[in-house]
Amino acid sequence: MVTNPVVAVEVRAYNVGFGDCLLVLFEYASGPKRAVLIDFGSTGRSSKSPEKAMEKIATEIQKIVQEQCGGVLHGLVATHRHKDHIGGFIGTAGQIIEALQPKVVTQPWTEHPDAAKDAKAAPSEEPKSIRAMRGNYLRSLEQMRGFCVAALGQANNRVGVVNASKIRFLADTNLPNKEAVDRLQRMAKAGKGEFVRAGAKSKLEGQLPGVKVHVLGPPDLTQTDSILKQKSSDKDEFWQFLEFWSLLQAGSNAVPAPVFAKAKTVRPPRTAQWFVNRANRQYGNQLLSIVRILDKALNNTSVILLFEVGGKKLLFSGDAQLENWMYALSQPEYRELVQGVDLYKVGHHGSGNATPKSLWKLIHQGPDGEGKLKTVLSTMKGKHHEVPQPLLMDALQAETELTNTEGVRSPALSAPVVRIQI
Amino acid sequence: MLAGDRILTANVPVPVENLEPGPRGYRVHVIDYDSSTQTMYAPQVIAGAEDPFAKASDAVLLGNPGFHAQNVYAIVMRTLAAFEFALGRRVSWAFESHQLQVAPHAFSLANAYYSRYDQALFFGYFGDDPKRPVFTCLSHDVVAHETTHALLDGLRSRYMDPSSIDQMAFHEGFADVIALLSVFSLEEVVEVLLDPTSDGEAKRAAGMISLDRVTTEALYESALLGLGEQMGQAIPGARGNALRRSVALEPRTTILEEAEFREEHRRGEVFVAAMMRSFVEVWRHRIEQLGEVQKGRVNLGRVVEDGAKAAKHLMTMSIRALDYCPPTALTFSQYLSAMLEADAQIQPDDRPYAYREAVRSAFVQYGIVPDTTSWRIGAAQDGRLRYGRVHFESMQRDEDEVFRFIWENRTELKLNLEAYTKVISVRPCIRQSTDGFILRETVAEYVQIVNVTVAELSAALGHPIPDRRDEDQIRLYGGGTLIFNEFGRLKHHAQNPVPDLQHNKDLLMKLLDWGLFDGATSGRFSQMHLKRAATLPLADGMEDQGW
Repeated sequence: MVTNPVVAVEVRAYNVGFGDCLLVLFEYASGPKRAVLIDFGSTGRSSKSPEKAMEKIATEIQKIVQEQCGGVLHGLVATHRHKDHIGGFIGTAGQIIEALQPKVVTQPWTEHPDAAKDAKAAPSEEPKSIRAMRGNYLRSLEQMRGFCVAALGQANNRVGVVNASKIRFLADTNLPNKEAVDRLQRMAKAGKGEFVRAGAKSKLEGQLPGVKVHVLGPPDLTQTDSILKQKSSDKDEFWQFLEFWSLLQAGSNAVPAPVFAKAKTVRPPRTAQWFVNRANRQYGNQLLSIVRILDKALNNTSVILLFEVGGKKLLFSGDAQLENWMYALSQPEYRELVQGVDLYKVGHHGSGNATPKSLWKLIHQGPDGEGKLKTVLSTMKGKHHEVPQPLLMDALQAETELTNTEGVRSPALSAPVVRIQI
Repeated sequence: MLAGDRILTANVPVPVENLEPGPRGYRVHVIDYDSSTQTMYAPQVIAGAEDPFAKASDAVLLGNPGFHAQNVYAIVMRTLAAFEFALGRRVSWAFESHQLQVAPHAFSLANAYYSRYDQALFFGYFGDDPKRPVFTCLSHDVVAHETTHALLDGLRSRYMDPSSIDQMAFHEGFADVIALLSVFSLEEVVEVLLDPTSDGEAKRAAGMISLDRVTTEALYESALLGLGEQMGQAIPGARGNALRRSVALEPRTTILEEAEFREEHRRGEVFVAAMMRSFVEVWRHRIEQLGEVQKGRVNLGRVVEDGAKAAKHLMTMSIRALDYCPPTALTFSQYLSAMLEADAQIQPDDRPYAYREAVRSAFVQYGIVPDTTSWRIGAAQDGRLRYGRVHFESMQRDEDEVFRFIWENRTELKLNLEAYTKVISVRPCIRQSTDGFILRETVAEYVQIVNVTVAELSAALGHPIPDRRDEDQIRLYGGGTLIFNEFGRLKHHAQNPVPDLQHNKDLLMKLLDWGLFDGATSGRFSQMHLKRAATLPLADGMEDQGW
């Protein structure tokens, strides 16, 4: 018997431009609320001073925490490393959040500082142990980020104006964000850091009495591997993926040098000029395709959390795309968990495969007669090539009670609030 | 590929021509521009018939971009020549230019591909040692593979359309087959695969090989798997693995029904596996005809020569089959039938090496049986066709004239009269038959396209069409290949009709199930190779989860 039950949950979705910043407040029958901040990032803002905008939001969060939560931030979740999810943890805005001294800092297993050490180890030719497997995977993630640096260096109008703009947006989001990452690690050390995978028991439960916290993703490599084994008799596919990135990173430099340093070079002759133009654009297409692939790979390290409280369920999936969901959706107990959730934070700003069809079928089977599923979407049209996806938007608008941050005026004080009564 | 610890090289003949610097010839223009570094290397000058790199060291071969330019030029031209030899005519590119542009060092990325839009082949370079990158342009099979995509696109421009699941797999599978057979047609390669310790002509001349090393299983092991391994080492990543996987696929008749092999790359591997088994079988037939020089031993030189000949012959058969294939919605079964029919036309007697039998039985082992539809024009049908209003001479080259023939005979040829119909090619060709006579044929292709709305399709199938709005248009493809004999009479009509909303519901449901109404084929090859290498595969049942 819970003596002080949760009576309502409020979700504040801030308009951060392109990015996520969600403050989840658990309201108890008596006493202060308990707060969990899920992501704090922004990119693609048209504002002249995006840092100032994030400062305003940080100040707003600080005020709420001080006035409503007894000055305690109970949980901080950084779903994954993308700038639009953690980019706010820099400068003054970052300092304001750090000063709130979150009790638990939740990040995906791929961000574990020890794992990063492994990541520097050279991949063995045929990894046998899970440790080596993890090391190789993390090393691949690092290499992908390294590729972003190179791609950013190459993104000029020569490769096509549109290509260059898209590459700059995606590569910038994927860049190693040292200050924000260091701050998160520091907060994790000072507080109660945890680096979770699907099925992990989250320390957030200890901070939120009466709330069950289920971690549905990201799967670790043993879980991913077990899923893929069901599909493929050929394990090479997995290692091929890792190998590709190591080869790519090795061959890419921010300012690459000609591969034949001593060979004679010439100005492109007139007969080659049409082709040179085309070739440059093709190169841009290739860079963009690769940056998209690595953007997706990093999205798939997103933490997926489901809060279960008083018979109500709230699902937050970061930017998890299909490959991340693959594991959770293959597990009967998780399928049952997501069935008929009450609130869903739309994955990856409304992209086409972050709300897999089978997940969609499960989550919007709401309890009979209890109204529509509430959905929260943080997106910005025209920034990312694939979001929001029009057919998903149609479904969200037609079949759910949608709250969309796009169009909500900044600054933060006007953040829409979605309330779930328990 | 290595011979001992040296790079294995081979001399290949190419059509003679006077080249401009590049090399820039009548069909190919090598442009050595690197987009990663914006570097244009000096065009390679080739003067005379002598190979300036004939005696070059490995360091020179790897480090001289001029050799790389010469190498891609030679392999592209050799592949083009193989197609023109098989088809008995010039083969055009799919774009409005006579010269295919080839960039041997296009960018510092692990990819190589054909782009119709850019009228070009792009070869990247990559590697973990910046001083010794892997050059895809130096790999014979990669260059032959990409050239085959370009040639196939020139011959069957609609094979990039999503009109059947096998067709999606065919482009990649066929390019792999031609690349592999092209490699095997080099005696130098076959020799090294059979006898990796061999160090040259002299040893080969005196050499023997024991019969237990030339059984079907032994050849499969040494030649096919050996080549797959070598390629895997030379071009790490997706390509090497794909080839290794193809040749290692164990035959089973239900393989194409398995979920894993509904994905286009894996499905293409089944096609490659069937063709390469045919190759080994034919090679073994040829070896059986060799007499034993000593007890239990045959002449290694002859075994090598026969391997290369078998590869060359099968390559010719494979290419020639294209003329007998329908221009849209191709199935593996139809390709097999076309291959058998085209070969029978030019070589009625399959003896002594039983190529057709080897091909048929290898495909059957993978569940691919010849299509039961007869495309030959029998005497009765011939009698019903109208020729009175068309002119023999024009019918050999004029698309409007052939269209008139089709239109005059629209009922007899079972055209869909609701469809947009266009003749997309008319090509006269001359082939030499085994009886010494010249076989003249004219090959013409037409396509038919019907646009239906999603609402119409959905109503006809009684099934919703996922991810599409009611008013969206969906294209349904059909078409036929007409082969006229030397007297201008139609002798072969390979047709896949446009699926009909009322009568072909099963087929339409399959197309829907396979996701073939999704469209978008531009940039297909550049994305295909990249996606294959750089993304994790999806588990079963997860392929169709997006919006």
